[in-house]
Amino acid sequence: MSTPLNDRNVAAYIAGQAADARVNIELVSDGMTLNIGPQHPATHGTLRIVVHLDGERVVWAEPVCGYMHRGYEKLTEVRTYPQVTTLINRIDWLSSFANEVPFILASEQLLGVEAPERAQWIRTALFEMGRIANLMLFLGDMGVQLGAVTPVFYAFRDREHVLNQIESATGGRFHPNYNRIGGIKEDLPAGWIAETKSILPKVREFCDQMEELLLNSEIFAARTKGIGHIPKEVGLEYGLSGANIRASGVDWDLRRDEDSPLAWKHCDWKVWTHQDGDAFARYWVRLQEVRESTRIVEQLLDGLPEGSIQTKVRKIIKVPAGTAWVHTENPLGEMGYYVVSTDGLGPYRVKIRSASFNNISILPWLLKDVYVPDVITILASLYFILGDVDR
Amino acid sequence: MQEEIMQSLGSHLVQTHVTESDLWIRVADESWLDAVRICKEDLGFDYFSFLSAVDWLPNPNLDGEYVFDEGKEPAGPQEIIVDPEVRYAGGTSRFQVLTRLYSVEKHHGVTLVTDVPESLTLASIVTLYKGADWHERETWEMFGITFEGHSDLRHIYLPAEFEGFPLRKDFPLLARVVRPWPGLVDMEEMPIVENQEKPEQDFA
Repeated sequence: MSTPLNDRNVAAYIAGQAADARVNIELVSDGMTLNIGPQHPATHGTLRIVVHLDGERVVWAEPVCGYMHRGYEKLTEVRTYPQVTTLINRIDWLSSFANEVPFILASEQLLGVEAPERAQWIRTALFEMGRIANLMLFLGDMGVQLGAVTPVFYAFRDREHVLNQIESATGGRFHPNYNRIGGIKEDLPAGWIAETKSILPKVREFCDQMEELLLNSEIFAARTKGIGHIPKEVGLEYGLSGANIRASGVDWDLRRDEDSPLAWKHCDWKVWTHQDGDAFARYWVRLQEVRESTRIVEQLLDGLPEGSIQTKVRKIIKVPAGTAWVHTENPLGEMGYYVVSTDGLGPYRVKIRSASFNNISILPWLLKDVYVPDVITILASLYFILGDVDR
Repeated sequence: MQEEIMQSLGSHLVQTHVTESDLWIRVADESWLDAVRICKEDLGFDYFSFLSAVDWLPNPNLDGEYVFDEGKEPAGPQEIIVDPEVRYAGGTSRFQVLTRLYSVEKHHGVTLVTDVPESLTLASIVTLYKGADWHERETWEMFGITFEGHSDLRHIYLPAEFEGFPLRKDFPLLARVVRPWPGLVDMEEMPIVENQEKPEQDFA
């Protein structure tokens, strides 16, 4: 039965067409602006990203940092050298131990002292433990950002073993404050070495699980392969470091390539790189890094030299005038301290070169023309800690 | 390596400082951009590490603290530090901008330093290293040094209406102004004289 063609139906038809036309006009819109964060799990802290969307596509993106700016560079100027360690523990809170080391090395360089061999080995071992704890969280967290919830539970379960070991040696789970100028706070507790060795296979087992759960998963590959591609030259120009640049095929690791008083030179391990430069490659490289770190810790604990853990340093540490730049390969990338001393009890100026600040400065370039769900993938795969961005 | 850099930089170079592991090179402020370009294009420093500044005017308020003792005057404006022991590669200006470049293939880096002129402006190196964008914004925000050629000098950490340049030495550390810190005693010279009475402290 066809509808009788009367005036009323004609009017309704015209109104309908007009409504459709309006919708079509609205589809060609000026786009919309969407706030991601400041509170979003993918940002590891409080980073806000303003994205301007055309449909599902990002036209431009602008990270807004500063929600967590604590002014550490200013605060170091009113503290003594030993006090600064407490402060810089809070920069990258997932591997605080690794933050302390370059600053202490810079202070030692200015002071002209060097920690004994045993202290350097323990420092290196704990540095790597910090790396394991930090990157394990990433390995699980990346899954949860893509909708796989199980990996993050596994990560927290197995990271606990590592944190317990860090705690039993240093007294602090997250903020060890264990390094002293010229050595470390105290020697390792009895039985620590055997206990640590016994948890390292668990970490490797976790890596195998992640490989099985995520890397071998079709969904994970579809969500990460080809997403957030960073060419080598662009990455270097933006100052990307660590696993982010190694995933773009740059074979560069400060642990291997630079002469350092720390004990990496005594170990046999491999620097992994990946040619793809996408989110998948960044995950893959970090997974291999955790495995290599467990190997480094094992070798260090096997060959740990005997001896004292502290050189003689004056009780009130006055650092001679000079400038020092020390950088190390932290879990998130190159972390360096540029310390200026004017022969005082505290530093005159400390420039903290943190890895995440450079790592996320690439976001406006990288997020252009990607789709909204990939924004989260890219954020998670770049892996930054907001304390390390804002300082 | 050092000689190669010196040759390439030619007349841009003003002074160098070499330590065991590191190299400081001071260039004239007008050749800042050219020097960075030579480092990138001719010398192969492909990795941009950081850019920042140093304020060489010592804090007039005793190591960053406002001291509220009635009888105690702030030390007042002091001389700019020009001691080459502290100030590697020399220079006489109040502000110095420095940048750290690195070669990931050759595994060596260089710190380029320049004196900032009175006008507090310097050429931007964003065209050479895109990563310098945020670092220049931060340096502008913290020290008030303008980078010519940077299209987007906005606050990066602080709120847009913030006034002042926090990392300048004469900018007071507000938290300490509001409440003097008991740890202040650590920053002062410790009394070495024996039998000296303990200075009275008000921890309230």
